[in-house]
Amino acid sequence: MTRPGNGLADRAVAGCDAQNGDPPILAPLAGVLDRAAMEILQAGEYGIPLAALHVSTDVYDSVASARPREVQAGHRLILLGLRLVQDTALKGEDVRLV
Amino acid sequence: MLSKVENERMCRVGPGTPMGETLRRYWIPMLPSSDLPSPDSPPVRVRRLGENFVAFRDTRGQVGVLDEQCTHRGASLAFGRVEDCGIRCLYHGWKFGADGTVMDTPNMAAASRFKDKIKAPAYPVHEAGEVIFAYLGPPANEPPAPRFKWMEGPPEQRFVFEMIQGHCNFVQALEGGLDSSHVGILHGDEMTLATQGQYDPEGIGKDRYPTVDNAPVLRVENTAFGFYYAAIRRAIGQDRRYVRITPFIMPFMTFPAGGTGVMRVPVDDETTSVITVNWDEHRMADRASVLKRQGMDNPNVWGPDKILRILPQDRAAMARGESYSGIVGFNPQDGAMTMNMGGPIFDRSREHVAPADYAILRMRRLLLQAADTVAAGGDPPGVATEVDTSHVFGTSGVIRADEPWQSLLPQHVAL
Repeated sequence: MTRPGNGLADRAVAGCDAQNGDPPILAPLAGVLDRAAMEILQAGEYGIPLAALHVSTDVYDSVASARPREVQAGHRLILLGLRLVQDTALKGEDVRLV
Repeated sequence: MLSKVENERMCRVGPGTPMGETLRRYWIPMLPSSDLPSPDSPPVRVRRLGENFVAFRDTRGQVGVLDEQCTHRGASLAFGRVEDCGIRCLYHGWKFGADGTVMDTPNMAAASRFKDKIKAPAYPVHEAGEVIFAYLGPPANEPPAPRFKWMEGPPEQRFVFEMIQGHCNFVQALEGGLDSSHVGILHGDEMTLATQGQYDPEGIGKDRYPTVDNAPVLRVENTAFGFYYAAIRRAIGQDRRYVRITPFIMPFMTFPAGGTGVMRVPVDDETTSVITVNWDEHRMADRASVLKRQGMDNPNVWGPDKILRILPQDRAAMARGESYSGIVGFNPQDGAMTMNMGGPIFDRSREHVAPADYAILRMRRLLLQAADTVAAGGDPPGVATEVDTSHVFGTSGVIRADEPWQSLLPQHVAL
């Protein structure tokens, strides 16, 4: 299930946390993207069609906060060409392709 | 895509920054040897990682790299006199050896022993393959001197040159070297000529670029020094694969196929020095041919100040279908892209990366992991004594569709 961003994107527009003025603490993305790209390429090698990339809530929020315009416009978030889905069963850099 | 925090952490290189401290754990290419052509030749100001240095070659041929500012009262040693095995500051005549020893303080009384009590900040230097390296990090962590395949053989078979890319952080310059999917597009004019056997047939066009496939399948394998990255394309007219393999050697070196080594060294956060080594194991280096290939044979593009300048595009040639980019040569084509990314440090939170960017994603991850490791007190990848980079090279070739790309790299050892 996708969701439109739980307000983090709005805070990112302002550049800080609306509650206390601190920058939002966001999940790092470098490791997630490296892992997801590797799995997407492997799936491509076996001709497996893909529609969505599942990530942890923290990673989802990090992407959403970087793309406030897309979130505010109601667009689905896309990462590595796949629909981004927050998955509460995932933690840290874990990803799941669907 | 990176968060803004990751992007800043990866790109900022000054003293005390996470990436700055990480890069200082490696030998840093400072300048081509040809910039200090002979003993006592004029000193050269060198800026690296946001700090200013002076490099000089003393009377015995030994290269010294010191802080640019005189340790006495801060005058620039780049104005200094190189004489009698040292460099002398013009201001008060203090003279320093290549190791920072204070050799003379003429404005002090002859009996003074002041000079014996201090030393100028000096850095370990290693000169090999017509490149001068310095180690700018903690003395206790100095790694083994760099050893690369291009350092072997006589100097006549090498041609080294430096190009300065302004408005361009080192990572965005480096990303261009790990981005095979742009080769047949941005450099399409050159690669089409290579396919026809008309472009640099003794150099980078040697393999004839036998493909029209612009969507390579990418493979990356980590190694002790970084990784090897293979871009695998359908070869023209046969059920075979054309493979281009590029090693990434931490923290900023790539070896594109075709006898080239490229080091994209941070001058500071916003400027990059690109030191390119071209070498041929079998014949003399052809300076004119190399510069023509790279699009650097026009003095309006690249001259004695080393700064890369992007000329206006030839839109008429583009309209006539004679040029895809309207820009001549690899380096200006790459520079036009990487020096115009909305700022000297591209905001990677705004990008939409694709699986075709896999090698770039791996490089970013390695750099950030290295910064984390150094911050935690550990060693970054590639600096250990047992890491041997002397056999590492980039290559290309055509293989059977069922053949592993590693078959082109007989000495490759994956982690």
